[in-house]
Amino acid sequence: MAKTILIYDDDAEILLLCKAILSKHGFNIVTRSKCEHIEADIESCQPHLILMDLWIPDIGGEKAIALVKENISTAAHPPILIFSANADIKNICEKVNADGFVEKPFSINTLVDTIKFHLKEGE
Amino acid sequence: MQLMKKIKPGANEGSSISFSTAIIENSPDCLKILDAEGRLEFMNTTGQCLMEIDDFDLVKGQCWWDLWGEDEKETVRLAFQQALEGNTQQFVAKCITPKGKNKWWDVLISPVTIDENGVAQVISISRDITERKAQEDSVRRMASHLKLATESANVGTWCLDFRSLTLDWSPLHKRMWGYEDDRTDLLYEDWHSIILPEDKAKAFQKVEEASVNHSFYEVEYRIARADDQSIRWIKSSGLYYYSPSGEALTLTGVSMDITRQKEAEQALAYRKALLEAQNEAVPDGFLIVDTKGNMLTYNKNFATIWGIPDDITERKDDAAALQVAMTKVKDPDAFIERVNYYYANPGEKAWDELQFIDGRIIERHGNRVVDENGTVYGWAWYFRDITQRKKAEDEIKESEERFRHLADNAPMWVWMADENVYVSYANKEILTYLGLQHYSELTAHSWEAFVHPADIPNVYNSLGQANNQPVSFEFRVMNGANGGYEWFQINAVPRDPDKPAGFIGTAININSSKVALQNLSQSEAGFRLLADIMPQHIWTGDEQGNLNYFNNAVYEFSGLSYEDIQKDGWIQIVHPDDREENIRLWTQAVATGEDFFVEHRFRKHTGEYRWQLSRAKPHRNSDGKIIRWVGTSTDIHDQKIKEQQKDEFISIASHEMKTPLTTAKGYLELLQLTLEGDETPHLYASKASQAVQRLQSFVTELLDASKIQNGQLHYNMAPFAFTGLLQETIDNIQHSTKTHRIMLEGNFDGQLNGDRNRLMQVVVNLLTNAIKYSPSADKVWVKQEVKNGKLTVSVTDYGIGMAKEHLEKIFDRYYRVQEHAVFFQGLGIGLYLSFNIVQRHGGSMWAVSEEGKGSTFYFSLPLG
Repeated sequence: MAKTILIYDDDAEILLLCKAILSKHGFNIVTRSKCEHIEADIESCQPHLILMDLWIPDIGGEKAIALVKENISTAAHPPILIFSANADIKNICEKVNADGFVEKPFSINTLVDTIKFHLKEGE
Repeated sequence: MQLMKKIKPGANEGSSISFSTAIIENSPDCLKILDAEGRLEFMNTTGQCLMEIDDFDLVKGQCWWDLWGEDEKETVRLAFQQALEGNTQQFVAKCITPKGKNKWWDVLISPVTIDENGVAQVISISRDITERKAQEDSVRRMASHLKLATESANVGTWCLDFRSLTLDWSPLHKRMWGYEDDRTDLLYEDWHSIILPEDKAKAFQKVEEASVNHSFYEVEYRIARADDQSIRWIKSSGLYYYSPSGEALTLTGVSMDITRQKEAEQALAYRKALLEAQNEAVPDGFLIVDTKGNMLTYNKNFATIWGIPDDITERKDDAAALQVAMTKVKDPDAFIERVNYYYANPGEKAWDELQFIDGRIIERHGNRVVDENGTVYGWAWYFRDITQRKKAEDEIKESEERFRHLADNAPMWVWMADENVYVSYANKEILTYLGLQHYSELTAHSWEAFVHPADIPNVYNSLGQANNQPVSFEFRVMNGANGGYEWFQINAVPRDPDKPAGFIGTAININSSKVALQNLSQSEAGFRLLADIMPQHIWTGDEQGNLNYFNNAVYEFSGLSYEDIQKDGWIQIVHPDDREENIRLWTQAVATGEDFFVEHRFRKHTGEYRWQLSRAKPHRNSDGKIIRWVGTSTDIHDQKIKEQQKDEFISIASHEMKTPLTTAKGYLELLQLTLEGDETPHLYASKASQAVQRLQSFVTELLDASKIQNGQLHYNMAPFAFTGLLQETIDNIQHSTKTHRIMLEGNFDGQLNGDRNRLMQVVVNLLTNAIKYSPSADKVWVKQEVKNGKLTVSVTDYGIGMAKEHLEKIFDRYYRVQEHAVFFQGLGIGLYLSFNIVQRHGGSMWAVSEEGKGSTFYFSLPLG
């Protein structure tokens, strides 16, 4: 069964690109351009992995991740990867206790490999 | 008349009367018969003779007492009355004969009882004792004289009677013994019991000997006087008196108190001993000769100094002693001549020095020995070995000359002054400066003319008698050449540490430094003024980092007063968030002496916080010791804000650029994948993809460079295996490079502490450069080597290389070798970034290059 990946980004082009790449690799893609309802989204989409942009309305990726971490137990929520062009992505990842990151711009291989790595881990 | 009958028995009884008459007439005494009325009835012939009465009938029938003088009449009458009453009376009285002769009579008067009718007659027998009386008077006078004589001579007399064991001693003797002189109860015991026990045996022995030898004795002993227990010396002498049978009857003698004499003797003996000890104790030799030059006395040192043999001195052989002396002195003739001269001129002081053959120098003094009456007894000669003293004097003289020589050639002032601050010496430097020829021109206080009037009291205070400690002071002295005053600094030490005896000292011309100091204080005032008009904050701290000065800008900016800052400290104006770091850095700077450098915010009097760049440097003295800190704080607020805005802009801009880049890159990759197998379109897509990749790098570098500028580039330091990183990077680059083969040499197994990603950035930068700038080559060499605790990595290419002038600048931000710009693109910030990353790891980076031949870039990192 195809695994669902939930992608948050305010840039529609990025969302389209990711959907194009990841669909080709057999993933089921759900995208959102706002992140404040992340808990509800998780509930409704049941994603296997989340890609979260940092600069995203209305509350920003960091806060959204914090919401999940606060309210849902680690075992119960899917891995969340930070998905950003921020140069400090690695530090931010550690700071918000995200499960991993994909730095923009990315190469297709990096994106796919990283996602696959974290999905395997989750199984 | 009856008595007459009775005592003239011869008249009545024949032969018996004549017998009685014979007795009466032959009696040596004057016999008288008186009637009851005291009238003379009869007087024998002897009596008439003694009484010098030529005719008894002229006095017969006269009253007896009328024959006596007026003074005795009553005595005689009373005796007669007593006799008349039946009592025999005796008296001694004086009577003048009718011929005027004084006669003493011992008169016995008795009643003659005839019958029951009582006394009818009285008989008087008078013995002429005139001669005896005269003798007695003479003896009494003699005794009195003797007593006076002995008492006046302080001689006590005594007589011991062995038969009765009684002692008769004179009052003086009793006093001498400490008894009252009228004591009559004193016994022989009282005489000898106060003799001191230690002297008693000796005294008694002498007395005993005299007794046996029948001789006169004399002893000395001490007594403890009976009254005050004072010890007195007594000299006693005595003589025994014997009976014809040889038995000792009396011991008679005299005693004298000789205490004072004894004391005088002892004092004399003491003085003599003292004198002798003194003579031997003095280091001088001395000799006393009489007026004829004969030796009277001398001491051992005399013999020692002159080397005169004992036998000569003991004999007091003058001639021999002189002979010996002559052989000792260098010039015997002069020696003798001098002696004779002194003898001939007694008024002159005899003093000279004798040169001995053996090198010694003997000082000779002579004094005439004269008593208070002016009698000359001879000469006293004193000889003193002064060889050492002479030698010392010579040495002092020599050292003084040396001192003068040294002082005169010293490049500074050297001087001496006595306790009155009279200059006794001044060296050439001083004289030249003052324009004098010789230091004797500086008599008494004449130096005052050369010293600035305002400084004269200080000179006296420092060098006068009130001070006897080393002293240093400054004063102005007139230059003889131009009349101007110049500053000098005196350093002086007391010549005698125990009492004021003047100073010896130096002086150096400090005029130029003094003037410079004055200028300096003027310039310091100038600097203060400058500091106060500066808009920058300027402050200073002591060597312990306590701030102690702030310029006006600090007060104006903060609105605080000096007292406020003193009270709460300057740190109060620093933003609370910045204080901790501020204090840490300041403490560290003060502890290490390294420069202080910090950016922090200060609270303005309006309450607004403004960014400041503060820096401080230690001010060290010539010994390198920190004496203060000087700091400035520059308002960089506007600049800081602008930079923050710029960084924010770059950050946002790069982020915003990356978003479309991400899309472009992604689609290009997808396109490449799609066009796989279709060569030309795929090539186009690849070229587009590479261009986008480069654009991505530039954007990243731009952001990093901006961060380096602000010290914000973040590092994650952790140990990692460096060779792994190197291999991985080489693999990645090799993967996208078809033109060059990257060769790795050397191996390093250890771990390195650093930011793996940043260091990878460095290696990537060097490899891409090497490939980029060696378009005609096909190999790039990478080498790693561990040496001296450092890992050194080099990347060598055989490319275009570069000229020396560029080599120094290639690590600057945005620097690019202009000649290459046409052929090679890039912002030129890669090496700048790499250089900064290596530096942040405590390493270094450098390059070797030759134009047209290629370049080698090195970086080394510390291990451990």
